[in-house]
Amino acid sequence: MPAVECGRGHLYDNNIYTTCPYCNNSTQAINFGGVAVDRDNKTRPISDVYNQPNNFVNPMADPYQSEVSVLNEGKTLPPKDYAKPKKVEDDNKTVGLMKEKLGIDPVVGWLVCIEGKEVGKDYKIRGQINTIGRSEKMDICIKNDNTISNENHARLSYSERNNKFNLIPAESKNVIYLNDNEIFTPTVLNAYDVIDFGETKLMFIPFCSEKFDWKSTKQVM
Amino acid sequence: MFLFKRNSKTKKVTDSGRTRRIKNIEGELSYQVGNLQKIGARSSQEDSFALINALDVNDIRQNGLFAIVADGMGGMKDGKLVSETAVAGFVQAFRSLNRDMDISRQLVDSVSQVNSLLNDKFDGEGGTTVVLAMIYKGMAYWVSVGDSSIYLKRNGGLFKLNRDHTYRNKLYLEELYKVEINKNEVESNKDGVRLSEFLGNSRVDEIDNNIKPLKLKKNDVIMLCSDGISGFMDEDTISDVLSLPPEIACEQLGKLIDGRSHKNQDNLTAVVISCMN
Repeated sequence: MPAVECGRGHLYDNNIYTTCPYCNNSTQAINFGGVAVDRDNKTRPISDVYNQPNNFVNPMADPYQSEVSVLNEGKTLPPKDYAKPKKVEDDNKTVGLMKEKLGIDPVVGWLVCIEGKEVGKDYKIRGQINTIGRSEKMDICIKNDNTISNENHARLSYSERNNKFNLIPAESKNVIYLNDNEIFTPTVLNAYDVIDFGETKLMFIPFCSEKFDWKSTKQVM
Repeated sequence: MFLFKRNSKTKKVTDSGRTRRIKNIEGELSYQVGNLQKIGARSSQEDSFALINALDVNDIRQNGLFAIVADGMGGMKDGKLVSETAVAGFVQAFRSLNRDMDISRQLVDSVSQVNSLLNDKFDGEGGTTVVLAMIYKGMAYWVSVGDSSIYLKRNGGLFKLNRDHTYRNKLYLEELYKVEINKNEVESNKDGVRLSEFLGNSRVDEIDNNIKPLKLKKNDVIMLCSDGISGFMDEDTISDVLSLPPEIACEQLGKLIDGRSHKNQDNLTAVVISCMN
């Protein structure tokens, strides 16, 4: 049968090629002047390729080719002001006042889903305003609950100055309950308060409290 | 070309290579596919692609057909590895989709997942574009981030379905709010080709996708490609070439690009899917 798939989603004619010509591409590229770098088609560990220096230019390569590769001409570039993000945690969403002061954007508390589709999941709360919604753009993203607005369902603030958390209803179409009382204005949150968004219930767990806040640690750091 | 039958009731296999034509249940579309990848004038290949389930009519019926092209960014680190990782990530996401739920949304969600995977793995130093399409029950769902392209050829017209995430497009958008639109200024901006969005970033804000699935019709042709094709070929030529059967169209595209031998020819990758009954 002439049409084959190599197992990695590449189709080729096995009357012409013995192995997938597309899987080999990355290595076949370094194949000038009859100096073939042969690699079998197996899945290999990342480090194998990864260790190669970024600006690796095969000395055997055609000078014209290497000239092209050194120039940045035509290469796809990121935005001009793009800088590798400095990360604190696995998700660096909020860049706030605390980050500016401390150089890090520390966690100040958590929400834990105790009822709903994402039950068991935790969401980090950081300094200043945290947006809550279904969209990935939100600081706190609760994905699978359609009763939650896509963006800015509510906000959760942490004031570093007063060491206080507030829940602020925003563009939600549904009533938000805090410990079974409906709320329409910013309301102070206390440890183990339950925020009820309809299908999803979240329990609030502060990290910053009377016992600890980042302001006082700053001196130590 | 020769023609032979494999399983006379369900499958008809034509020829030489990358394509097979598969007979179908009444009213159901079947798909012919082709793929193309060339290195151009670059020293390495940084594009990656995959076509999943393309050779099995039952797989297509049950799980859908999936096509993806990712263009690793030469201006950042590890272009090939990043695009390859992205493709692997999306293929996995495709396989684990819940097909009874909103497919569009799941595909868009997978963008964020793959993005954070890349961002973690390459530490924000590697980037790739992605354009992917899933065809399930005669409907097409597509997603794009960056400046790769998805084209639809229908009734003789060629339509580009996505918008490139480039700085140039951002500048144009800004111009629209001005009293006088200065095209030359936008076109001559040397940062215009820079991407305004890509995968591997700390977060993805711009995602292009179709919210309503695209109902495919007989003779529709879909092409996903990297800018090695869309940036080096005018749309008339692309449209002409896409009239050919996919595997021949791919061959032809490759020949045309080779013939021009542009000295900055970027890596080029295309996946072509045509719909038939």
